Amino acid sequence: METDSSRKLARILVAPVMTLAACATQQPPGFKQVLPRGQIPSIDQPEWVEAGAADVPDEAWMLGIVIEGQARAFSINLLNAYEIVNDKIGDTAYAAVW
Amino acid sequence: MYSREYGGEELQFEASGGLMNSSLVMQDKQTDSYWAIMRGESVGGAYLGTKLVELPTGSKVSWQDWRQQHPDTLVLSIQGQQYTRDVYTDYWAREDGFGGQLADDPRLDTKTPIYAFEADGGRYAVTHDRIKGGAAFALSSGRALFLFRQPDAALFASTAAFSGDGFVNDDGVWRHVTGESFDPQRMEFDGEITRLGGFDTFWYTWSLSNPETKLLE
Repeated sequence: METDSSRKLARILVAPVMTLAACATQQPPGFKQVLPRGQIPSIDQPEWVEAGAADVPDEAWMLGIVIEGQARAFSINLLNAYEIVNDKIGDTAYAAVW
Repeated sequence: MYSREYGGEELQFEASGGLMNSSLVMQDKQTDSYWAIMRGESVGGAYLGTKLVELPTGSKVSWQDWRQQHPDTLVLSIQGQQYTRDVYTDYWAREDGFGGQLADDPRLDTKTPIYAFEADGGRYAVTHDRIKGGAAFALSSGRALFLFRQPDAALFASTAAFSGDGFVNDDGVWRHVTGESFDPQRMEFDGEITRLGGFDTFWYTWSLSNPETKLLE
């Protein structure tokens, strides 16, 4: 009886996980998982400093953008570490990717 | 630089942790769809086949130049840092790609720096060397292109790319056929000429994902 209850409990606990797995988006052909998803976190609420307060060497490479008249700069070396920044300027939602 | 608006949704992208043909694949947090940067589209999930919308507003420049051109710029800061050292110096110098990857396509060497893009349903690449000082091309669709790199441009510097009706070199000055002239210092035309999005990358990265690429000679 105790065993049956345990099995029933196990099924209840496992069922949602199995359902989730079945629903998970299938990896496309040729896709190779190198790191677990999320190990390289995206930046979803970026923080900014003004040019005068930025500690960046003159010769450093930056990705520079102007959207709706507003300029933003991203150190390419920093982007290498985080890969993707999700941001929005005015009505323009954009992803900075390197 | 990509739009995050697709099918009426505002997506948030993150690294999938995986690669296709040695290139970054993103996933969106809303539908888990896979988006392959080098193919410029979703390759799996609810958004399969949807084109990434490129925003051709970005350029790669030195901090000194960017700050001079845009003194009011804001700078990304992560955990109090606006800069970190380059951890890929060995990679830039090597003749092979990530994990020893080589190009399958022998038209160029694995690490040849190129500018590559999609236009009118075709995929194209041109070597950085070919467009130093500027070069004009006509695609089979009739579209004219002007591609420019400074003769002494560093590997990371962006290619300036424009699309129009025709471009000519007029005694050393590049012009669009309607008269606008190109300023090589600002890397802009003195008029509204459409910018073209694209990639400055290595041959293997682009050609593994886009084997049908036409090479502009």
